Amino acid sequence: MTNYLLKRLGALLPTVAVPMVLLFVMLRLAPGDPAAAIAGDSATTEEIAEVRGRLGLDASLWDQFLGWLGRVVRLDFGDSLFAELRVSGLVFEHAQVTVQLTVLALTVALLIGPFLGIAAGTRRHGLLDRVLVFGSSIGIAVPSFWLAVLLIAVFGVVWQVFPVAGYVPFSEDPVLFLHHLALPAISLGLVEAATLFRYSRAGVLDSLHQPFVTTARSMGLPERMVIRKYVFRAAVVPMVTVVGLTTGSLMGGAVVTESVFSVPGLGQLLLTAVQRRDYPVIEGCIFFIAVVYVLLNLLIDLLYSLLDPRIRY
Amino acid sequence: MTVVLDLDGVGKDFSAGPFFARRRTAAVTSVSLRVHAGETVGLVGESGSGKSTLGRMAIGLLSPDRGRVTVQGQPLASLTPGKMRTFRRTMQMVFQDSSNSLNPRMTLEDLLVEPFRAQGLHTRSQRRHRAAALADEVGLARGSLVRLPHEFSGGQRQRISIARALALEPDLLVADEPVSALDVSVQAQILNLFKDIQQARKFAMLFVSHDMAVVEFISDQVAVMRAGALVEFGSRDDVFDSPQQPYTRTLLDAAPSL
Amino acid sequence: MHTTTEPLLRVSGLSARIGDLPLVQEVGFEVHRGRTLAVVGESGSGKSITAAAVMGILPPQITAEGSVFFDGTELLGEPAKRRRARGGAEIGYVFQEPMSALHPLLRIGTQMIRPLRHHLGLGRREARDQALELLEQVGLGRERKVLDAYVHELSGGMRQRVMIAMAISCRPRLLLADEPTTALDPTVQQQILGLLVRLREQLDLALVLISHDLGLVARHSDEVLVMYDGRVVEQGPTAQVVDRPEHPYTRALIDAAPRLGRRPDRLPTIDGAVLEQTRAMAGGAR
Repeated sequence: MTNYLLKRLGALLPTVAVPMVLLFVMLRLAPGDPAAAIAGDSATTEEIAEVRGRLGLDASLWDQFLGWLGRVVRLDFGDSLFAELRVSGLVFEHAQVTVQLTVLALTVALLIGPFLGIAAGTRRHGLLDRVLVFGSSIGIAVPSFWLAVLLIAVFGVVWQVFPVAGYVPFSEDPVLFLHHLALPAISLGLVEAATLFRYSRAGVLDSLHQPFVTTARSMGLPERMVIRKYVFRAAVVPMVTVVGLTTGSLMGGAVVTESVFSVPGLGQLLLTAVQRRDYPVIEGCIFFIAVVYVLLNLLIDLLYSLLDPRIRY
Repeated sequence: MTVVLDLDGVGKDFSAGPFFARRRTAAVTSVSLRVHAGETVGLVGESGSGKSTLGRMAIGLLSPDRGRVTVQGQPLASLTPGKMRTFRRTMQMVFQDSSNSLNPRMTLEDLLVEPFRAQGLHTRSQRRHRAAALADEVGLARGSLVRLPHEFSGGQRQRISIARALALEPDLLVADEPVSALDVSVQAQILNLFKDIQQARKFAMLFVSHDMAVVEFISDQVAVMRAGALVEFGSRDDVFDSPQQPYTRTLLDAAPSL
Repeated sequence: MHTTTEPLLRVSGLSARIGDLPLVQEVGFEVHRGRTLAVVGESGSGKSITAAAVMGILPPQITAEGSVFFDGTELLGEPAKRRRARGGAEIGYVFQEPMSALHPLLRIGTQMIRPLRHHLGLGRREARDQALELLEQVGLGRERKVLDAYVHELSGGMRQRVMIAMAISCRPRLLLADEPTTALDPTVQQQILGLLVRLREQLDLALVLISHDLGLVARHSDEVLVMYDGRVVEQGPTAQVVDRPEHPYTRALIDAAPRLGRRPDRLPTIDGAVLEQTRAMAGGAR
């Protein structure tokens, strides 16, 4: 087990390093010049060159890369090109918000998806099942930002029960915090709930016909117990993978949804940084996301071995 | 009689256990065995005895960790991958569950033509001609040449597998539990078929099975394996009439009888 | 067959169909406590459907009619819930593949204890002790290790013993075993069949052994029922059916199996004429 962990953590390095190097090269090759943005619209060529020199952007790509590499291996992404702020601080501050939003959205998805999936799967072809399957098709087809706009229109503008935008830190006021994040979390969570619904329903349908379920029935156990203790137990394992992937795509979806609701998360930070070609900030954000993705995958595999005794590392 | 298959001290290890603490255990320790042209050697043993592993090594599907496999005088280990491809003609295998090895979208004719196409043999019309002859030989109606695998019964699918194995006129046929999944009545037909075609074609056959009665029916020589080792080898009559090893006797006692 | 007591199970006129397609037609037999009935047939003979119909675990798309009279009660047509409750407590079922019939993610102990608590109302502790007792009864010893194991950690023979221990755990009177040894090595097959017969004697069970292999169950059964194409071809005391089969199909089935000690050049096969005749005779008999 320890060996396995060490091996997996070792493999983490290239998984993060390769996209980081690609990102470095692509950013520098992409059109757009941060120096020009910093110097302002009215700046002369000399002024832009001066800014470029100050930022070290006039060195050759190779020299820039070596310098960059030297800093990045120490997890130092430097300062933002536009403000005297450490990238690490910026990313940490914004990531907090995104993680909070992701967790809330995941909670929404987990509360709705698997529960309805089991309900529909055990009543296959019933009215409930058909309604839910139809509903989930819509949920999968609809992008979360569209749902976000719809929710804003209904709950924010027409009924005015939720604020349409903004963010209050949890430490300041937990109630306002939830109040502000409710709509973004629901709009993100509902879409993922539809996916979770589909997978859990399929998992239940599959497990219902497994021989070991027939055995439990042949032993005279009541159907409720068979479903709860035997069918569900088998259906839950493949769900872990889906939840893991879902969490990943939630973070991706959060980037867009954040900008709809003006939530100061990682998405907002990244979007602004890309617009301004703020290389260090972009790199910091992507680094964070890459590490989270890889750790999430590791976590899923570890969870798998906890849930399925046939898998041992 | 010419030796077709010569296994000389052949062994294979498998590793199991966690990544860093892998233990290597021998699936086959060291087995020497010869099969002559026109002869059937029945390889019998229980699950985990290594009989299937040995069968796979005999036709180069697995490469041994020890010892030497020689087919028709050609050591398999010295063949380059390219040479191996053409040499495969000489050695063929029939598996227990044939339905997995038949492409569900190919008709019977496609399936029977495929071996020739893979080896680049014959013209189109010759291939079709040969496919029809193969169908005849294994007792499949010519009218069924246009049918797909799922339209055949389990026994018929096993006939298809046998026909495909025979297509390239191999010198060595390894059959791995080819009748274990079949009903008694179908099993009898397929066993008869194996006997008939071998008498007609005179290839060497290694017949792997867990069923003593089946092995007694089909074999000229019998090899008994246990825990990766060959525990008894002899002519069919010797092994079944006066088994030398207690383990062989145990297997005989356990065999169902009427 | 000439027992004075009432049979524990009397099946008569049992038919099962899927839509308009008949799977089992007019099957009838009796089993007494302390006796073993072997139901023998090839794939498609309807032997497993018959067993599933008795147990009440037919897939929903298959409908059964006729009579399954068990210990004074008609089971067919009984409300599903009542029918279900008889499972384990009155009728035990041993499946062909213990590997897939046992839950891969639950410990053996958990799977054994649940029915014990449900049917016998035992506490967690008592149920666990009872499970150990059962393991000993099926020849696994009072091994806590087995209770804590998962099915993939056991050998094929151990798995089937666990399956049997579970099937008899809630003291059923009838035990149905559907090809209980097909997935096992020959030496283990004999042990498992021996165990089933021993338990039948000890617990005074009625045992129904379903098999495709007449040779395998012959020495372990009192009566035998031969099925073909969903119908009963022949039934009677095992020794009589094996030694002097009345029906050509039974004879052909016995001859087609390779038998130790006989070394024929070719095996007799069941020709189409016998099968046609069998179909016609079984069909015309009604």
